[in-house]
Amino acid sequence: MKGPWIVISLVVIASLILELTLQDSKHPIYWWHHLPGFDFAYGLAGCITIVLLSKWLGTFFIQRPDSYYNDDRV
Amino acid sequence: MNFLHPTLVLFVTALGALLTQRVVRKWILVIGTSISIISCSWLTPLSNFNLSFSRLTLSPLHVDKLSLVFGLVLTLVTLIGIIYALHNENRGEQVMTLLYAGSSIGVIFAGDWITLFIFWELMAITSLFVIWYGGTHRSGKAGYRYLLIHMLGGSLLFTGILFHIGGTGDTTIAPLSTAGAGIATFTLILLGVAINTAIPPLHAWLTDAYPEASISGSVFLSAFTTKTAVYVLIRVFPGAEILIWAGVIMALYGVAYAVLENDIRRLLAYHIVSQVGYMVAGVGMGTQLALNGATAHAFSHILYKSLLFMGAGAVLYATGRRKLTELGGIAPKMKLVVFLYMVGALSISGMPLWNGFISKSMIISAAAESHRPFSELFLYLASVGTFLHTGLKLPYFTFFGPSRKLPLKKIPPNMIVSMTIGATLCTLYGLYPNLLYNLLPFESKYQPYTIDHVVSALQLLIGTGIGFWILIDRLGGETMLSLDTDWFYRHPLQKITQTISEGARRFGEATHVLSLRIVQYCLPTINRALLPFNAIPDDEAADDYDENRFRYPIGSTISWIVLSFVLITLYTQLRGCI
Repeated sequence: MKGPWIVISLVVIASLILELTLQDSKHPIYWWHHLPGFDFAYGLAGCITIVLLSKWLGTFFIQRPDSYYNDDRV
Repeated sequence: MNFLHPTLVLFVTALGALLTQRVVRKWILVIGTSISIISCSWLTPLSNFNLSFSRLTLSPLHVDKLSLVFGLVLTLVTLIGIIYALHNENRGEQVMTLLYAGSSIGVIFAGDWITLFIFWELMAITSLFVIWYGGTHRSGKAGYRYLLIHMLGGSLLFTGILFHIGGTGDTTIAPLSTAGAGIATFTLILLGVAINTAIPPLHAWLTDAYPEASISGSVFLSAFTTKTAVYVLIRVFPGAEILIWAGVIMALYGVAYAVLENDIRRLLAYHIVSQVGYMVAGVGMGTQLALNGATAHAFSHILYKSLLFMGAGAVLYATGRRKLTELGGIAPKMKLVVFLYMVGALSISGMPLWNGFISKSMIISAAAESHRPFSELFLYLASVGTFLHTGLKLPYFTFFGPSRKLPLKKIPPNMIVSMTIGATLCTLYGLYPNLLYNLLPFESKYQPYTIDHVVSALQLLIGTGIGFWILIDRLGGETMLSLDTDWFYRHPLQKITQTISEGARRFGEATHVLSLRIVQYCLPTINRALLPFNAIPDDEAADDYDENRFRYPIGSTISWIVLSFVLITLYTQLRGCI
């Protein structure tokens, strides 16, 4: 399972290099548009936040047993 | 006559499908839907025509760039869906599907509110049948709930339309504002359309009903209702500020629920809510770029979402299972389906080279350019969730993951063909975005393939992928269901109805018993008082002559007649005096 990780690391490194070298070509509106690696960090943190927050909401408020509505009759 | 209305073509095709059998019917279906695509691409603004009645002018065919681009993609997806459903011998379902497609295209080309409303309601009814053709107890119940909500939406829309026509006398569809149309008209029409757009909390009909349709039914359902509603929003409510937040909430709401979802088609349905959120937010921003983005995203969404539903349908067809907890390890036997599904998944996730990237990034860029940082960041966050579920969680736990040694049914070739067409279109528009951009109705320049767009997208997706890998143990399906806003009309409302009907039944019983008691108590007294009238002789004594036998009955009858005669006479005589 090393292959995909190597590819992923290479893509991340390449994208970071591109971001650092091609600052001029960008047209930033907010600060996060020219922060190198922002999108990577946002994806990672966003993913973890979404999962943990939804699971928390699910456990305490939203989820019920599968037969809750009792509509599985054939 | 230099035009052919695509709705008419589809309705005639439906009639043809109704009257024919087997192979002939299949040919009619494919040829008819292909003609509808051709007829749509032939339309120009010159094709417009009106029907005039004494006080009303209807415009069943109003063509401009906006209606053309929607018409084109809807006819395209009709053909794809019809090919996908070719193995299905259910004639009723095919006819209803075509009528459903035709009606939604009727909404697209409607130039006035009355025509729009007629097709709007026709769409609700025909889609109801598409749900019912799921053929299960669940689809029956979900269909009824779907009907109730859509009738509510239709009534709101119709009231709004009547207010509008009453106020302005104008039936043409044009942008509305609270100042111009009045707050009541604006709100009613917006609410009516919002129900079809599935804006929370009015969205639960979608995630409730779509997963219950047949495997081909849900492909059609995923394409038409919400996107025609988005079209109406673009036409009528561009720049309505409230839609920005509605859209952002939708985008995140769908994603949050998708985390908890175990049913693969319901997971995809939550992603319809999420993706339509982007379009709604785009309409709310109202800039040329945002409106173009909403249109383009609707176009892309129809293509990749139908592809995803086709993929999920193929899994359902092959395994008969619909839950992540019951699926797994089928990838080696369904390589082609996995590949085609993944094209859809990468498209919806906004991976460069596919069509989601070229449209979703337009809306996100429009948010930044119109200086709405929170909208931009939240919409960007929602695309993290999209890749997480549709691109990673669903395929991982459905196709890969631990094998459950499921027996697989062979997938009919027509399903593969239609998925291939869908995947090809997703890739084609992704590789050559100008094919789509040239069709867009508004003036704005956008270049998706810049280095920073591509780099951002790749980084975001890789970040998400690593997050998925870290949390993979917590992401498997759970055999639970998630309560959504349908709970309000499925649970408390049901309990309230039960309580009321039970109360009414008990009240009825109690009053019945009470009235019997009263009669029982009073009868002897009344009987004595009415003795002269009630003294009907019993038959046992019939043999003995009695001169008084009929005296009371006949006497009392005559006295009643005399009394009424006196009253009538008095009335006629006195009428003149009073």
